[in-house]
Amino acid sequence: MVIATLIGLFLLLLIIGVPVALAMGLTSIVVAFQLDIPMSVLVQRMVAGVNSFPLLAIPFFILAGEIMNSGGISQKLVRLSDVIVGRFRGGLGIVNVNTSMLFGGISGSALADASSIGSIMIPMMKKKGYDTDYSVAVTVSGATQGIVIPPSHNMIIYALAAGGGISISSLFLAGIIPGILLGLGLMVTAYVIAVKRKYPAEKPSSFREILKAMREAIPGLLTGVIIIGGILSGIFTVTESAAIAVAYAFLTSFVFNRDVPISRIIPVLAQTFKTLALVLFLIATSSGFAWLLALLRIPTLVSDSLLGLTDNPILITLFIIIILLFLGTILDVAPIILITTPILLPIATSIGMDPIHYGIVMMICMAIGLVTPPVGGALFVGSAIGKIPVERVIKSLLPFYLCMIVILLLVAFVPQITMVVPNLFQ
Amino acid sequence: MVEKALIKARKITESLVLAMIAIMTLIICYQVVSRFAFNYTPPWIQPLSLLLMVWIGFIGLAIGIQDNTHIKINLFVSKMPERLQKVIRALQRILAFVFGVFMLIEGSKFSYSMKDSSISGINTPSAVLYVVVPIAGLLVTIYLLFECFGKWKAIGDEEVEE
Repeated sequence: MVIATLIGLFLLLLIIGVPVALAMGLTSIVVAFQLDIPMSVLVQRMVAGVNSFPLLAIPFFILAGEIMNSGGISQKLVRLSDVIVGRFRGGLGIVNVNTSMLFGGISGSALADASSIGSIMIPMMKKKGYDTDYSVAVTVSGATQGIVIPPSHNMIIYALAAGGGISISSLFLAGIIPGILLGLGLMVTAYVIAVKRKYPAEKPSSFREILKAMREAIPGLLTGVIIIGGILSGIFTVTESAAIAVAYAFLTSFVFNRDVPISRIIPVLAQTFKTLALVLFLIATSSGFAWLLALLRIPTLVSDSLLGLTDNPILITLFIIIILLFLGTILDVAPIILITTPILLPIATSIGMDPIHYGIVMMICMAIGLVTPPVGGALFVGSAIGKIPVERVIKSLLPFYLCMIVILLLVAFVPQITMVVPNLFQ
Repeated sequence: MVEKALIKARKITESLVLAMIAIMTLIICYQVVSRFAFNYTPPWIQPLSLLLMVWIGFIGLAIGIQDNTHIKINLFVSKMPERLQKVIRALQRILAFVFGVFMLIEGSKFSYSMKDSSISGINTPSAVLYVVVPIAGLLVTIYLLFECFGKWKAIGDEEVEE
């Protein structure tokens, strides 16, 4: 009975457009009332959800990305990618994906990536004669790499949703090869279509130009190196490395760069706060919600009934992937991670999947969700920048979807791809 | 008059939160420096930065509710007839108000019960951590009440995507 209320009420609230975080909060209140649990427990749970040290890294990662962005990092990364891969046919398409890969190593927000790189690359590609639908499709699918390539604040959310016990640095390391694989796959796809559509190549750059582009982009790229290097070497915790990245990004983008006035930090902070508020609200209420799920033994019930149907690990993995992809079409990344992890992770581990491996598979599913309608954050940002209807983008996205699904299945069924790097540093 | 006061109060709250984000970053950087330079980790840094984040989070959620910008599924509602949509929008705001009342009342009670325990490291009553819950409740309820009388406008309502 209580379980029916929990699931029914939650779904009903979602359908009538109540914000996801609020829906979890309200459902928890009603369920706690039914179970005679004192309301103070819920208040305490909500605060405890946010009151966690690893979580502190999230505001810093968002802030570091925003600062680099306002300091004009995207132009420099585009320039660097251009001198390296621009010379191939359809060069700008490959440049676009490559820029996103580099950007993902700094920021990790697919939406920031789509909007900042898209606003540079899409007009540039249009001018060189690329079709708009292709330009937008390349931009948005490329942007999704940010979620898989470390640092990714969604991985931190996953680690927390999994109830701690998962090392965030291992997750970051695990994302490297699947992220690069995804990027390479998208580049090949972009290239094949470009050859078919006879898109131009950029003229090869001289060695001097390459050096110049590198010199300009390296200070930005170092942010990623500081974060990953700091964590790997054990010098910093994840949170500290994120804070140092903010300080470093601030110095290079604002203090040593005369073009950007220091007062620009205010809108940067405001933008960070906006993103942060959404994430923290979700984390607060999902903490109470997940606690009630566990109390009602819902995760066990779901996994028992599923494992009763089949114990074939391949089928179960596919089942999990389909659920995640389906949710990805209608929901944003953070809510999916917070809602499904307590339920699906135990199933994944029961068929012998490592929680780190599962986390990365989930991130790739989420990446696909960002570019699938009706709700795909990156897709809408890209279409808005390209001023083109979403339907037209979707058509040219088809080969990119195919590529992403292939990479997803590869990563899901060959655990070594994910686990080799974290195991190396164990 | 009322509108001006509401906007002013919002501006002040926002500036305070932005300052908190900046302070939070600075003190964590200071922790790293202090550990390397003096081999000493000040014990107040971790609890203080967490306190700040909890405050930022709860004030942020209140502001998000005021503006109606939190992540939601618009898909089904946008397919419904215009009149039903209006009713549902009103219902959404009422539910948000209920949550505000919950935070206000239960948050106050819980904060009061925590007045005698303290957060280790910064010698502050735990109530300081929890009191942001009723504050967020207050920020939600007041603004939603005024929205109902047309004195406050949620920005999230206008930019409904297709």
